[in-house]
Amino acid sequence: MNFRLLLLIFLIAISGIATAQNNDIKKQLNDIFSRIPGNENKDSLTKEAIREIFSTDVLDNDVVLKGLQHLLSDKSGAYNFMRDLNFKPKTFQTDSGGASLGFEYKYDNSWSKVKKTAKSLFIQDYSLSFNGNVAFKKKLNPNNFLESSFSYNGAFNWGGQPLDIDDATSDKIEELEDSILARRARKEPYMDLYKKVNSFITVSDQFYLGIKGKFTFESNQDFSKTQFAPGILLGFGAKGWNKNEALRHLNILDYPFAFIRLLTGTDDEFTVYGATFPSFLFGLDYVVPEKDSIRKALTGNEDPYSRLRFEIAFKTRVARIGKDVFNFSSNFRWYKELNASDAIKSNNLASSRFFVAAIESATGLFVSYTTGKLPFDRKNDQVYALGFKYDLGNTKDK
Amino acid sequence: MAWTTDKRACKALYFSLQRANQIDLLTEFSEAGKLKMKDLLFFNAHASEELRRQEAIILSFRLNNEFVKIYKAKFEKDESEASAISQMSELMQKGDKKVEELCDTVDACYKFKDEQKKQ
Repeated sequence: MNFRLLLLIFLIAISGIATAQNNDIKKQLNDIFSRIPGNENKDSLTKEAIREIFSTDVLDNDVVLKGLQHLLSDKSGAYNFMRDLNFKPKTFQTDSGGASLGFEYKYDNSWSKVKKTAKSLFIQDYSLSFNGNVAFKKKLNPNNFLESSFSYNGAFNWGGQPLDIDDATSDKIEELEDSILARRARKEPYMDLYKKVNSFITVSDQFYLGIKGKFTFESNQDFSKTQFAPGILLGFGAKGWNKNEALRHLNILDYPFAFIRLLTGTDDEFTVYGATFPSFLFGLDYVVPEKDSIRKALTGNEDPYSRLRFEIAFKTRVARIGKDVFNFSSNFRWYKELNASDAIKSNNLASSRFFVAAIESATGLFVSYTTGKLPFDRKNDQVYALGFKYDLGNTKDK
Repeated sequence: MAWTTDKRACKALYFSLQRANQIDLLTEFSEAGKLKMKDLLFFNAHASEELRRQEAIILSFRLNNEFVKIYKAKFEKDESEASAISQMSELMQKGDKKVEELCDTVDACYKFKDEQKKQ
């Protein structure tokens, strides 16, 4: 590592010398060409000569070129670390007129790792980030804040695999699907072809476990004030794709909707969707309040606190009416602050529950119901809404 | 790339989404391309971003498995199972992205049989 730093400094110094030498060569060439009688193109001849000199293979032995090529081809950890590190010397100036030299550093990097077996896939992402400002006179540092964080995302997926089929069956499926599209275009019955396709395909049930962790260490530059901010989320999901397995029948939330779909003719038979099995999330958040006037008034400060959370979400199809497909979606969230003060508890801010349910169509018709409160609300509200939504091109989700 | 029945990538996506109950069987191919992610069953606009991300990853896994095992798709140069799943799930978390845009991502990641034959 030290050797590489020295090499880099050496290369920069050599580059400076080389630039100075280039200027010297240019001056001398200019001088030579100006002595040729009647020559008014000394500048262009000089440029041409320099281009010719520096395009020869002889310079491949040049120490700068060799050094740079070596650095670029080196994939060692030390080189990779240096490549992703941004280091900026700077001057800190305060309103009072004092000034100090110092530097700003920033490092961001992430790595992905995939582990695959016949039935599962595990994708992991690691991210590391450091950033901060350091002044050699710490009193003159207006941005006296260093942050180092490590985050981890792991998604373990098991199942969701179609049974192996051979190439001939794959061709047959594509052929049948082409026939479905052709029949649909001619407005001819096509459902029998869907059944034929499905007879070739069986997809196993799918399970998902996700882990997301972020651990941040914050401090001032002499580490006299420090703060550790952890956060962890665990997500669980399951999909009952296989008609012959019990999992999809455990999706009890979908039973009333399966009945509605049957009554409205949306589905030919009573079908509980394996795709709509609800998903869950458990988490521990580290909350740093910002401009939270209520909290400040109650506790006298805006100190960070830890909070547990739980969330469940469910969405399914209700019915197709004409060209409109109506979907039902709902979400329940629960939050609880750990070791909350009496003032927070007595004002009903220590925990909160929130529930929303809505029936919406792709064309914008909706009816919704919300109850409870999110962590920043003080009162429980119940709100019913019925209306029409029109997307005017809000780019938030784009 | 257009949303067209001339491309196996579009047809494979259409039928895979139907098999995964994301769009119903009565939705025509031409209508499906215009549907947005928020119209599909995996996307719950009322859930937190984390939970939506989870659902997008789950469906991306399944789509990847269907493309590779049923349609015998290969990966484009510089693409892999992990990069394809990551790109699909990234797009699927954006509620206003359309199925035809998801198809562009699928086409960029996978080489279906119609493309394999051209080579």
